[in-house]
Amino acid sequence: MAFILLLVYAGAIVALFLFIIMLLDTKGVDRPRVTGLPLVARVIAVGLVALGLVSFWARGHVVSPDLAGVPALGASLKLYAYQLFTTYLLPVQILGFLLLVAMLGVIVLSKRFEGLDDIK
Amino acid sequence: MITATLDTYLLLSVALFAIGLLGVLIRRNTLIIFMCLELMLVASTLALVAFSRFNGTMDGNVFVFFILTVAAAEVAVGLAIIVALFRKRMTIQVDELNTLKN
Repeated sequence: MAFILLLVYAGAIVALFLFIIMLLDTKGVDRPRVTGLPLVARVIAVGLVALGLVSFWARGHVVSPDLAGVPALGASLKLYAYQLFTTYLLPVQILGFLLLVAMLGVIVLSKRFEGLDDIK
Repeated sequence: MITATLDTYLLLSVALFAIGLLGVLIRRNTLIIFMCLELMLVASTLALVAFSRFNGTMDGNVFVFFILTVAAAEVAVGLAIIVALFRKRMTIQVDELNTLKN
């Protein structure tokens, strides 16, 4: 499963990002500006972070089950594929359709319409 | 063998999500904002996988597959929109994209 994630992410999404960064040719580094924040926002932000930390140290521990007693279901690819094609067959089909629609959308978005200047 | 507890995975997930949220809030480049959005998605995915592993069920992994597919579609459409925006306005800084303001 981790291998699939790595393959899809490194192969498709990150490569797409790199390609677009190369295509857009952005210049320089924009410094993240935290100086322009109003005082109220800063107080609220620091307060929220402090509250989160305090609540974590107070009682933030999830009861984690012993891993030795839990079967490593994620490791068996056969069971994974079996579930994907029996229990989750309809979502898989819908996702396929979603990918098709996304592909069509990207094609329409990136296509230059010659005679349709009034649309853009 | 995995020795980390569920706490560790959840903390890592929260940290990744916080970094992504901070990036979305304070960065000014649309591409970096989009990347931070993806980071938040991956953080939630990590929590899902950790819970799935520690409960001994398969459903979390299946949902990760679905989330991954939706993320791929989203990245494709989003980047196409950014490219179209760049073609139209020659900038992707959110400060300069203020046509709808006023």
